[in-house]
Amino acid sequence: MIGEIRDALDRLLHGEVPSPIVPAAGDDDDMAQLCRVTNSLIEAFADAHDFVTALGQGNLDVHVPPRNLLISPYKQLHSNLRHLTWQTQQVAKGDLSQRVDFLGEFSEAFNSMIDSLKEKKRAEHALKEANSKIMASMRYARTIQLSFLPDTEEMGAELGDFFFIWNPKDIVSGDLFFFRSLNDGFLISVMDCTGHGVPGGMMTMIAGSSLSRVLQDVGHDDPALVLHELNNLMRRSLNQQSPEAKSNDGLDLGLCRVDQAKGLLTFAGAGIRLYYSLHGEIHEMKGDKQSIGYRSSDPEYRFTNHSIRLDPSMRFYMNTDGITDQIGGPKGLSFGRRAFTRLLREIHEEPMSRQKSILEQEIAEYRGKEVQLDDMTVVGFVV
Amino acid sequence: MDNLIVEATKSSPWICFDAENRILEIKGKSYPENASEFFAPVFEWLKKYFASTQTAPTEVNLDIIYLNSSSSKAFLVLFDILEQAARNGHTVHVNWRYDEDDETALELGEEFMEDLEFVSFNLVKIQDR
Repeated sequence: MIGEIRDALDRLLHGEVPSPIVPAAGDDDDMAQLCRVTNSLIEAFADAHDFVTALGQGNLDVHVPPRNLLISPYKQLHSNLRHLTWQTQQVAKGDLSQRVDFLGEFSEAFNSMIDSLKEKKRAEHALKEANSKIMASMRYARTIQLSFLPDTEEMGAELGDFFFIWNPKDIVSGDLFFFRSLNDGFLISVMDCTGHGVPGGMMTMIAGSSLSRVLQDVGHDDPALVLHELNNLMRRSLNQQSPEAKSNDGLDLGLCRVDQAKGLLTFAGAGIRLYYSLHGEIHEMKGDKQSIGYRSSDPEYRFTNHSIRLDPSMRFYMNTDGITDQIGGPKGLSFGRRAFTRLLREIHEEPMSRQKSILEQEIAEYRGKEVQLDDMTVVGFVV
Repeated sequence: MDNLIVEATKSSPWICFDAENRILEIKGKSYPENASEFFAPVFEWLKKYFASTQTAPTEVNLDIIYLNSSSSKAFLVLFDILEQAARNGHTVHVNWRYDEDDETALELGEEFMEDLEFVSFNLVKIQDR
C-alpha cells in the first residue's frame, strides 16, 4: 500500500493524474486515512490541473473548483482577466474612461493605448466638425450656384425641346450654362472654367457676370465679338494682362445666337464645339481653339462666327470636356469625342428627356468604378 | 545636378527627370487640386537643367492618359520651356506616347505639337498596352 501511495505521489510530482487508491481489506485505520487524504490530494490536483490548463488556453468561462487551495492565486488572475475582458469590451463600445491598475507593465501599455485612442477620437471629432462645416458651406454655395443657372421654365417657353446635364464633380461646379430669351430668338451658352469645386465655382460667377456685362456693352448679335470682349474683360478682372500675373485662369465657352426671324443660328466657340444633326448625321462646328481670359490668351485674338440655316428637324448640342475626357472602359482611357459623336448619332431622334437619360447612363457605365474626374455638362436643344 | 523623381499618386503622374542620362519622363494621369503648385518644382528643375547642361540631346518621354484643364495649361508652360531651350541650341526630342485606342490623348499630343517649332515631336502609338 505504501508503495502504491509513493507511486501516486511520484506521478503527481511529474504532473500526471493517478487513479484513486483503493484501500486493501486488511489495512489499519491509519493506512485507510492516508489513502483518503492522498485521494483528496489527487482530486484537488486534478481539478487544479484542469482549471489552470483551461486558463492557460485563455478559456475564462472555465468552472472554478470551490475550496481548492492549490489554485487560490490563479483565482485572482482569473477574475482580473475576466474584468480586463469586460473593460476591453467597454473600450470597444467607446468608453475610454477605463483604466487598468493591476498586471504591472501590461497596465501601462493598456492605459497608454487608451490615451492614444482618446487623442485619435479628439482628432477625429475635430476633423468631422471641420468636414461638416465645409460640406455645409459647399451645399450653400451650390444653392447659390443653382440659382445662377438658367430658369428652365423660360427655356421651355422658348425652345421646342431641350435637356441639360449639369453634373459637378464636387458639389459646386466650374461648368455653367447660360440662356437668355430675346425678342427675336435667344442666346444659349456652355462654359467650362478652370478648376472644379470652390475655385471652379468662383470662376463661373465671374464668367457669368462678365458675359452679361459684355452682352450689355456690345449686344448679342455678334457671338465672335462677345467672345473677344469677354476674353479681355476676364483678363482685366483677374489681373491677368501681365505675364507676371500670379494666376492663369479662364474658361472655354460655346455661344449660340438663334435668330428666329432670319431662321439663322450663329455660333462662336472658344474650345467648345457645337454639334448638330442634319439628315441623320451629326455635324460639328469646331469653333476656335483659343481659350478665354487666361494670362496666356491672346487679347487681340479675333474669334470666328459660323452660321447655319435652321431646319426644324435639327438638334443642337454643346458639352464640356468632362464627358469626353472621362476615364473608364476596359483600358482605362478617355471616353473620347468620337464615341460621344457616335452616341449622338444613335440617339438624336429620341425625345430630349430620353437622350438625357441615355447619355447619363452611357457615361456612368463607361466610367464604371473610376472616379468622376471633372464637371460634366451637356446641353441639347431643338429650336 | 540631382535627379527629380516624384512618385505617382491617384491624381498626379509619375515624374522622373534623369539629368545624367538626359531622359525626362512623365507618365500617368494628372488632375491635382492645384496644378500650378504641383508643377512649379518641375519647371524650376527644367530651367536649372537647361541652364547647366550641355546642348547634347535630351529625350522627353510623355505617356499621358488624362490631363485636367489646369494640368494642360501647365503642360503648355512645360513645352514653352522645352521650345525655349531648343531655340537656344539644345536638341530636344519629345516622344508623345499614346494608346492606339486613345484618340483624346492623340489629339492632345497633336495640339501640343502644333505650337512647337524647334522641338522635335514624335507621336508614338502604343499597341497592346
